[in-house]
Amino acid sequence: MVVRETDDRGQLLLVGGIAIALVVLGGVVLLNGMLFTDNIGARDNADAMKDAQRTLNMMEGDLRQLTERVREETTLGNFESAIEDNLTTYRQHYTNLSFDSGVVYTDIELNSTAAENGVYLQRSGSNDPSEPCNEQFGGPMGSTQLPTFEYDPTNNGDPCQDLYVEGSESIKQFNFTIRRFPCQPDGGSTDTNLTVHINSSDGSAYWNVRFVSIYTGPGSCNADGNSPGDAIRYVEIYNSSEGHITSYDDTEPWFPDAGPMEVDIHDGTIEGQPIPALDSWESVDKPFEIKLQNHGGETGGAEKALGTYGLWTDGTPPTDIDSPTPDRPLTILAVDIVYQRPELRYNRTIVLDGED
Amino acid sequence: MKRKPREDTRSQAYTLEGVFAAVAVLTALVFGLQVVDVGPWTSDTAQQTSDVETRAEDLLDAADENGALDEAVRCYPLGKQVFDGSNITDSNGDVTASRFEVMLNQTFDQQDYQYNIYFTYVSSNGTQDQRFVSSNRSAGDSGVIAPSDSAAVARRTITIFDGDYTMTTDRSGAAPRDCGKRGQQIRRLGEGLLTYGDVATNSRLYNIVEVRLVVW
Repeated sequence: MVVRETDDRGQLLLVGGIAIALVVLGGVVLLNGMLFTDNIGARDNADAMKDAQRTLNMMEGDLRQLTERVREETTLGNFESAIEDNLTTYRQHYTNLSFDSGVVYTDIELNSTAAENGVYLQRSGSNDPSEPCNEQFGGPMGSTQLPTFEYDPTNNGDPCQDLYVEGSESIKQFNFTIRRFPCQPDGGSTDTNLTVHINSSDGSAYWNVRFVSIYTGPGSCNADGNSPGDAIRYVEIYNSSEGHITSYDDTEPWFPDAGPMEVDIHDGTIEGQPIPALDSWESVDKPFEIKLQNHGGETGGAEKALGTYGLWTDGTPPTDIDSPTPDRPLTILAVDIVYQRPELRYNRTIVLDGED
Repeated sequence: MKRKPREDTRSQAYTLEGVFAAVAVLTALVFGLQVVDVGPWTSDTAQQTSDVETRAEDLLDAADENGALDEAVRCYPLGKQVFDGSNITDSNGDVTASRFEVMLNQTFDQQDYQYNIYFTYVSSNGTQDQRFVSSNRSAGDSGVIAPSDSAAVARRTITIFDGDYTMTTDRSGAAPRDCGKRGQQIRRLGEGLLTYGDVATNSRLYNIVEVRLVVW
């Protein structure tokens, strides 16, 4: 007797056939609806991504404006703390606002890795007259006591160490208040002046502005360095392509023939007056070297310049200069913006360098 | 001959196979239906809502880009309390409405859309307040007209800083435009003159205003 096996495999075949048909159908529907992007995702994800990008673009615009305003109203010494306070305030309010509009969470965090620190030239020197140049600096920029450069009456012509910064790519602030011009007797062999150099690091181009007071009277400059009545002040500007560009003296209506002179190299103004030639430093190829030379006379008098300056740049000070390690405060801010909702989490790091 | 008892363990295997197949099929179905683009199968209404939402978002983005939205936010309420794109010219036919209203007119009013505009901001005590700033009210009780179920919503935030200025209107000029004249600096305004208070007195931030545009 032949035992016939029950044909229950037919049921399995039926079920398998239906399953395959459904899988094929589902695959067609799936391929029909998929978005072929770098991250293949559903339509909801695509909408969430679009909203995330839109929101982050808005936040980035706000943060750039906020940083710009804080930078305008602070100095290098207090920019970092001010911007942190402002960012915290913005973050708190924006997070609450976005969360109340929907199931969206936004956050902003400082990114110290992507941020950049600049150079803040501050020297806490001494009053010891035996030190070369006796350059006295002290106090943070923006406080009532700005770094100063002073003459050394006991200096016998030893070259002063120049203050300089190398490898600068940008200057955010560079201004002087010259309270006393260096005094040079007319016809004297001594080249006495205060010179500010902005030169390209590869030596291909230079730019400098020179401040000098030529004393034409008899005798020599006063011992205290004040320019006597018959001294003429000059501001001279040079560059590598034209050599001597131009000079200004106290015949200019805005030129103070006595008293302090306010010079802003970054903005290109003297006593608030736009000076086109003063702007021409921007044509120097980057990176550049910024140097401050305060030349003095060999004998007598106080020939060097006296005043204060503020310099905010992203370069680095040289290691061989005889000065304390300068501060490296935050100059370029970087933040991480986070956008999160159930469908996705989106991060973006932006650098707020004040440039559009 | 004694018949060998049939072993039916294969039925258990078949059952397991069937269950696994069903799970696989169901998973594929659920996932596939989740991601399926239902665009071709949606109603015209849903598609239209999506289009209107895109248009509303683009309008707010463009208004922010050209400063019209920022101007409108700083114009409220000292310079203007209602933003109405349906009436943008004066009796001589000159355009006197604010730039934002002109954009609303071109984008929605001329296409017979209705809209409500809301300004949501942080109040001085930390809570959120909202102001209805468009003119879409029913004639009788001046209540706000409720949008339809298919209304589209677009949002954009505007940040106001202490150093910004209010915007007002100077009708004495040759070509007066609403919200076209710079007013006082915001940080110098007294309390209560501007609807949005200074939520951060120790920072440059004044307030953050969310502009919500509901269109149908």
